[in-house]
Amino acid sequence: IVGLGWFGMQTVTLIPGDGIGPEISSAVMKIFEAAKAPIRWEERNVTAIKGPGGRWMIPPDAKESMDRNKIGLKGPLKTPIAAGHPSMNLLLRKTFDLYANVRPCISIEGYKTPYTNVDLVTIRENTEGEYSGIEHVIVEGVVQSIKLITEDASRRIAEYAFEYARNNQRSSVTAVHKANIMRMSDGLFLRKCREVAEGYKDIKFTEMYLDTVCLNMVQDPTQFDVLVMPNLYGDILSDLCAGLIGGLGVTPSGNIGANGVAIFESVHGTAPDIAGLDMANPTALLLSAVMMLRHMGLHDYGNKIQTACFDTIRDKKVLTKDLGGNSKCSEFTADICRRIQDLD
Amino acid sequence: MHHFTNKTENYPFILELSMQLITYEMLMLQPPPAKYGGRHTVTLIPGDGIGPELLNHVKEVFRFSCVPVDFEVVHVNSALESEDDINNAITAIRRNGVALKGNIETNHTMAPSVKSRNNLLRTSLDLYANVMHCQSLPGVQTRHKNIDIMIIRENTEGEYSSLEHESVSGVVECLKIITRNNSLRIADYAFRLAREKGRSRVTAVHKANIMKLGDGLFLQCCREVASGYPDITFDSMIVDNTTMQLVSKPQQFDVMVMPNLYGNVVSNVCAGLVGGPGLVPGANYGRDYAVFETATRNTGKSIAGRNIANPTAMLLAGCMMLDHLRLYDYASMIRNAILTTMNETRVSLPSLTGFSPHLFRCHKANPQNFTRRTCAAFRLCHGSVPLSAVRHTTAGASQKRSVCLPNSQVSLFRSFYLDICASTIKVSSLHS
Repeated sequence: IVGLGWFGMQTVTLIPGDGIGPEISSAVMKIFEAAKAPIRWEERNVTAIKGPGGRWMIPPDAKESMDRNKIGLKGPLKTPIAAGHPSMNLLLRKTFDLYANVRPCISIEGYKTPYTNVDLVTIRENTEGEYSGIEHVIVEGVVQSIKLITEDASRRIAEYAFEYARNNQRSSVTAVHKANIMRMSDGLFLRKCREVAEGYKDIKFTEMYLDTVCLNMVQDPTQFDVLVMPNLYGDILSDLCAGLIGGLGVTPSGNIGANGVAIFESVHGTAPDIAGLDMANPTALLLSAVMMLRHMGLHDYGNKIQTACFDTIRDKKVLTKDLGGNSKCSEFTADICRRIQDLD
Repeated sequence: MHHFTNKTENYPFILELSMQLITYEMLMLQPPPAKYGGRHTVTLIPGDGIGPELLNHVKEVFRFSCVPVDFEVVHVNSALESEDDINNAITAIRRNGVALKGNIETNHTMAPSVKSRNNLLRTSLDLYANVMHCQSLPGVQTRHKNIDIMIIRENTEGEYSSLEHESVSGVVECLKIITRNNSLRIADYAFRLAREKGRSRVTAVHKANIMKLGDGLFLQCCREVASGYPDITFDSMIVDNTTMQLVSKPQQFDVMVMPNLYGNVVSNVCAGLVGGPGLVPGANYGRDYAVFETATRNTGKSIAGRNIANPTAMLLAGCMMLDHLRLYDYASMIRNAILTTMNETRVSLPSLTGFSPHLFRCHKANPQNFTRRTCAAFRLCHGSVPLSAVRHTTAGASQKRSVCLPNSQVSLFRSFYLDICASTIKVSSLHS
């Protein structure tokens, strides 16, 4: 939880992103203005540049801004093909050591999916596991990929999960693993989770196999609360849960790093086909921004904005195309702003 | 009486299912020849948890239906550290060629050198293809309808190689192995199966954007094999997008092929979508051996011994095994009886309605009753007239011994019974 800065305003680094990024970012800024949230935005670009050592890095002014503000909001970034540099998300993750990816999945009342009353949070270890990127060709036709599990990373993510559960009044944490097959690696992860659970007796701790979680998730997702897991399972499960509530267009996401850094982002693509046409849906970025407000302790503003957003969707009068309506992004945004002002 | 009105809808489905199974089974694998007077011997591994009770149900139904299969029971004690038990089981399967098994528990508080027994079985026998057919069943309430997905999962390598080491204290490495041979093999199996069953699309599930070499190799092998099957569309999808699509629009998928771990995830998601782990059977095929079990391989410790586990999956796995042994008549008749029972008793099995797996909610229908009703349905259909008499004439049907029933129900059952006989005759005439 970050304290308020000068004049009570907190500065946040805003990375608009590519494609529909700029329009949804401006939509979010408008809504925050209407809510009179004490946030000052500092826009930065994170297109990779080649640093002095020949390694790819994010522009120094972006890095400096993030280090100073600690909190960031990011729109969708283009994944470059054959640009020579790795994905931007990977670069950001490495630069700021973003070790936890948090995705709260809450059913949106106005947006019907076959699953109702979903209210769970997936917390995924974001630095190691199956995505370590270490691969070798042993002999022609045999490839080995290395999955790395370390004690420190497992303990860190478990601690974050329990802290999150405590701070957000969640009652149970479930560790997802496959320790029956990957005895040592997931066994280590599980041991660390158990150790950390000892220090949080007020929160119920359970362990469940990945396949059982998948099975139960598509039958009855209401039985889950907070899920903590290594990288690959987290990737799959967090997208599964996003699918339960309606897809990536309405799912918020946050990345927590060491040293208090936190970057909140929308996880959908850049949608270049509708960029600039005022058709984009800003819900994902807006809900991520709400997550950000909560992380900063500004719960009132967060609740106000979220209520307005959900009310607009529930009303179904001004919905963007992907939600089933045919209004413009600006109309959607204006409706939310209006509701916020009515709420005051 | 109204219980049976929707039965006729099931017949085309059942008939088609049986016919499809016959075609691909005949062409894919050579089952072992029957020995000792026309009776097959099949290895039975009860396993832990709900395994023993489910397999008892299968034994009961088989005995009742006079199926010419003898079971050689091999127990595997998962609490022991030595691998003698599982080696015995493997030898028995090598001897018999076919097995039906429950899941063997892996106690992961034991030392890591004690490997998963199920995994050991699969790799020793080289059961490289795990095949699971997820279909929306009539009479089962689920959130999504009209699902018909075949999942083919590589069963021996990938993340399940069990190769781990602690290089430095506190740092564990686990190796995921992908080989060209196995990837080609599984892709070939998938495309052949798709062709036999008349499927139009094969989707490879992968994560090659992150694991460029490993999954990249898998994808490349799939593409190579796909080029030899121009009549089948091939596309690929990243695993996280796949799970998202499965929960929103599962009807878009046809046949899916994937490495081991993603197969685990996707098969469990699909099993949940069609109604739960108690409904879907699974098969593990190798070049020489075949092992049948429930698709989601649950041990079900929490519900063991309470007579609440759903036997449908294991019974259907038994039917798959009978098809593999070319006992198609028995397989389709038992399958009919199962589906009849499912519709008739209208059990609100939570696993049927899509909630907590395995449990039977309706007090009138516990698994023992279910099995008894299945046997009853079977008897009502066929009495105890030997198969040969039923096979040859339609007229023979009306000459059958009438079953002891209250008068009001006799005519109803007879028409139902005649339909079943007709379909059985049609089925049997195809391959007699």
